[in-house]
Amino acid sequence: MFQSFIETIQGLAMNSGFAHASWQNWVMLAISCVLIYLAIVKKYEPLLLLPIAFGMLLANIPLGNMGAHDTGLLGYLYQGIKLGIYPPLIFLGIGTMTDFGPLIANPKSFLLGAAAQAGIFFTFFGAMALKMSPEESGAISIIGGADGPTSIFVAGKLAPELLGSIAVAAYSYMALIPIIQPFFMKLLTTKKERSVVMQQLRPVSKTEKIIFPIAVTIIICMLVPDATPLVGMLMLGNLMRESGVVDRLVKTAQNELMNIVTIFLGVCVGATTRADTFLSLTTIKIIILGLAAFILGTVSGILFGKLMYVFTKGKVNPLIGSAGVSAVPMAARVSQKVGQEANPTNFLLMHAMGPNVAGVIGSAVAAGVLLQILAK
Amino acid sequence: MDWVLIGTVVFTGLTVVFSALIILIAMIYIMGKIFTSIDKRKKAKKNGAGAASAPAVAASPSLSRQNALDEDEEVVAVISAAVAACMGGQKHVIRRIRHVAPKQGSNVRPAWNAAGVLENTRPF
Repeated sequence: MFQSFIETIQGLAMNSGFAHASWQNWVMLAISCVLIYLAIVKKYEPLLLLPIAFGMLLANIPLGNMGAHDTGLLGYLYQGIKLGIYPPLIFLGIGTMTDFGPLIANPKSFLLGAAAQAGIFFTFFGAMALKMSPEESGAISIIGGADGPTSIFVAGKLAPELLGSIAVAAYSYMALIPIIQPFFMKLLTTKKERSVVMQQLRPVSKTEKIIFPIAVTIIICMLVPDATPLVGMLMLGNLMRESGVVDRLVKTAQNELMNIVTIFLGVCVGATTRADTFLSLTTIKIIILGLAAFILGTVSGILFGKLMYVFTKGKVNPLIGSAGVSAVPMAARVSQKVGQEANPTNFLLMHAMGPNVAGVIGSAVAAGVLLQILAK
Repeated sequence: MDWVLIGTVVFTGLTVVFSALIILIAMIYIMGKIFTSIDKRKKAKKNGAGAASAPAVAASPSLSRQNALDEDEEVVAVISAAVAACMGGQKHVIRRIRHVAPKQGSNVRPAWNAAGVLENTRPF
């Protein structure tokens, strides 16, 4: 019996994760612990970074069968990303929480939302210059849209093997917006430009707010059909909110649905980070290109804001241009903060929300274009 | 490097994104004009209905504003209380309360507005 006991213990030891772990597994476990630390202690986008980090940890336990491409729990849940289900559902929730009023009151903000998406396309050029494939370049460049669900949606379709790296880079840089953006905002503008107080926005009627999501869906989705899942669900959520007749659906979409999908999305994205694809030169390229994409988006938005400042004879504050990246509402808050440093009585937040939410639509359109040209 | 593909993606992408959003600007602008003109017509109808019973309009906006302030007892009470608090118990008489309008085209908010803005945006 003692012999049998020893043999069983030996068998268990031989089949344990410790016996099968390579050095790459240990490195991935360490990285996941660092990301957990950043999420909990430093509070870097914890709602997504924590599930992503723990999904990474689970997927890199040898023999745990919890990778996105395995046949375990996360393998099944990953189908929600592979089939493009979770990101549009996140957009549904985002739509119920977004007020397009500042954008409707000042439609010129759309131009700033479009200008900031230039970062995506210039980064595509950069990625191709680094000898990445067109699909990989498209998936990496969408980081410049500063939109997590859009990045995951496009990466899931164009380069699923890079999904984990792209998502980690996208959410990390989104959390670093208050650190990345102000330097370039002050570099590219003068104090006089930063001090501009903008005219108060006109009040927007309820009817306009109801017609807006319907019209945007028809126009954008007819123009770029590949953007339909993202733009369509965003506008559905917004219509539900503005109609005022489906309050309980809005509450569910804002809370329970968002939370459930966020957990599944985060854990499954983390579960795609295998050592062989994550610990590679490609990940370093993604980190550098992701940073370049963010900076280019900020710079494009600010430069277009300066153009609008000139054309409107000083009525538009160029700082709201940097809010065209679709990190709502962080980018708008950064515009508000930098504007207040130049002029303490200035209130740019609502003006910056216009380009900020326009950027969400702009990045979805850009994603649709990339999918239409690059997806096989 | 496939320059044709790079050029196609960059130029097509920028063109389509800008075009789509410009179309949306036009749509929102037209919608805004329609709703603003509907609101104006509704207000004109309301004013037309009330004009018959309304007294003659005051000579200037500042005078009518001045009359409104004098008659608004609550505003007078609040201002009096604030002045009394500032005077710290010293005897005083308030002879006149006058509204001072900010200069046209001024970029600086009045002090109270500025304090309100700072209060609301402090968390950011």
